[in-house]
Amino acid sequence: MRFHAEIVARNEDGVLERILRVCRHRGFGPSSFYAVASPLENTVHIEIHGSSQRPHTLLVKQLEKLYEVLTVVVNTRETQGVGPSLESRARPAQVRRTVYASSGHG
Amino acid sequence: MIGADAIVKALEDEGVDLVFGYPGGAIMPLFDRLLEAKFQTILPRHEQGGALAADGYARATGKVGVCIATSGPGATNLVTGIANAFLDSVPMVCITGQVASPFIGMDAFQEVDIFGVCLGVVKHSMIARRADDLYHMVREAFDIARSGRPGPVLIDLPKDVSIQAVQALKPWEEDPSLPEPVSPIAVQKALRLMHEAERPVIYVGGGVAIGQEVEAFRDFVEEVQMPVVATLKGLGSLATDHELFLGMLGMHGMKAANYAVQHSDLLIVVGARFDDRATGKLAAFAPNAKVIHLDIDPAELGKLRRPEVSFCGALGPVLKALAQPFEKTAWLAQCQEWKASFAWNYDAPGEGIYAPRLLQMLSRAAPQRTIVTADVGQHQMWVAQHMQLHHPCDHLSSGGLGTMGYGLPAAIGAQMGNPKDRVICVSGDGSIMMNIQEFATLKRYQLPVKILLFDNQRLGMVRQWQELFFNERYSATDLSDNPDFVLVARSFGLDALRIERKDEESLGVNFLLNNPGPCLLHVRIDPQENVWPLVPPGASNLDMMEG
Repeated sequence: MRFHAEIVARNEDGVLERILRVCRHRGFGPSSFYAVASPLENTVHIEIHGSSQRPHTLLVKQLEKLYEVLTVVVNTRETQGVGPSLESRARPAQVRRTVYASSGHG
Repeated sequence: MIGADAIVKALEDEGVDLVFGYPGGAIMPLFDRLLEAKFQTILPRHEQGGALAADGYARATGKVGVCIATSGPGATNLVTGIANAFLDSVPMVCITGQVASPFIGMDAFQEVDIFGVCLGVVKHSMIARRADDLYHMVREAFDIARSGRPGPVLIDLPKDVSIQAVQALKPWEEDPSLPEPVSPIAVQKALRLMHEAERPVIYVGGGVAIGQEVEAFRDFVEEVQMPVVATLKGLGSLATDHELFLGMLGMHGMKAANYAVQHSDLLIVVGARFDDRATGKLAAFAPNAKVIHLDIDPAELGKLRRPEVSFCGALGPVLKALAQPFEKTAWLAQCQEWKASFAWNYDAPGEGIYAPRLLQMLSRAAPQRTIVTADVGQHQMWVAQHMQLHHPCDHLSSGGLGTMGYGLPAAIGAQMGNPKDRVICVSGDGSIMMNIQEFATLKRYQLPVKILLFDNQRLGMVRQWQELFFNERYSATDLSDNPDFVLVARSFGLDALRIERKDEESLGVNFLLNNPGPCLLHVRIDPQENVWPLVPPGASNLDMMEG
């Protein structure tokens, strides 16, 4: 099943490596990866397309555990094969939480 | 003030009373400042020993463990200890020296990208860029390490940053997290399931100890009066001699525990994660049971088994909300019947020492507050099966990573954190050799750790699997050329004794418990002895093999 993930994260050391590592390790191999930094907000907006046999909720929950990650949206709808223009979608980061799990969210 | 001073100040402000550290070139500025710190620096004899000792200290005290190493090999030697803490959700802050910033990426002497190496085994990691940030960075690392589901946090510290002058300390402000309210709808639904269930079982994992919710858990069990099974890390959440406790479940679990789970119609899962060692074949695990799952990590809810009701957050408030009296008399009677029918038999033929019997004797004779650390292998399972445990923080075992060599450093950390309590390290002849250099740490700090070393001159658990599942083709499991462990221990200044006959078991127990200093009891056991029962890989927990 194809998936499409949109992630907003604080732009800290290693954030892209961390996100890609989680995708690979949890069985969500990317076929395309786009990232644009927003220096004023100190965030990075990331889109990943790929495919996996695993339920996408697994990816969402594991990505949400990353300390820098602010929001994650993953859907499994078929999307256009070419990545979207990220410049057109610059938007304020939706800060959903500050510290993973200290609030016991979920 | 320089960067290294800022780190020391942050550690002091966190209330750290000791760190485990091994010096080297890139971390020398920090070690220089440790000389004036208000806390103690413990020198292990290998960085892995330091990391695992910090893990043991954290588990046995409930505090954050701290370990420090230099760049390159110092840092890579920490990795197994960091991974061990990650897999078992142990709060640790690990500080590694790094070559100076201009040399990073230049393949400098003792340069390793430890930040990159550790990405998959840390809860979080940071690279220090400015001395002004260090105080805040260390405080933040502690906050991350102990919040939510705990884990290790790595700080990589370039040498130039550690000697850079601090212009202004970036202050740290605690972010008080408010407890999440327990959903009344979920509580209602869970209570309805608990009322409707005829055969409920409480399945407890390491989350109870990690969340420091042991009392809340015990109050819950006393109120609902339902049978309890535990994972390896959940052992002691309810005292193992409690009448409602059926034993460890899973691959080497007690038959009563596995029978109860497999026949249950409701599992109340408290701080456990359906680990494969606990569930056996997942599709066949508790096939008729509905599930109520409590965990602080949202990623564990529904990861392997879909719950009917789930609660994400601290366990205590949920356990309190669900604590109501239930009467499941017939089911309790059935569980008690299984427990009695499948009780351990300690009569073993022959004149040799039977490890389960010796462990049972030892735990009966030991003071109630005795911390037991286990290495990894057959003896680890015998400890879990046969020792009486009164609190989960008294049983330190490498559950997730299964790290051979864990037991002795963990015992050092546990003893450092609990200087007045008895600490026993149960090890095997394979595992002890993985960190045997830490005998020197016992000697240096005069830590009265008691080491019980079972020696079957084999890598026993691997040998057992080769016997059972690889047609008795024994590959690389013979350790018959072991050194004389008594002489080795004595050469490090430890008292040591060897026993090998059944009639020496009491002598050995007395030697361990009455010796005032660090000591080793070397116990020769039968190489053919296996751990039973055993659920073969890929089988249901009802399909237990027995000897």
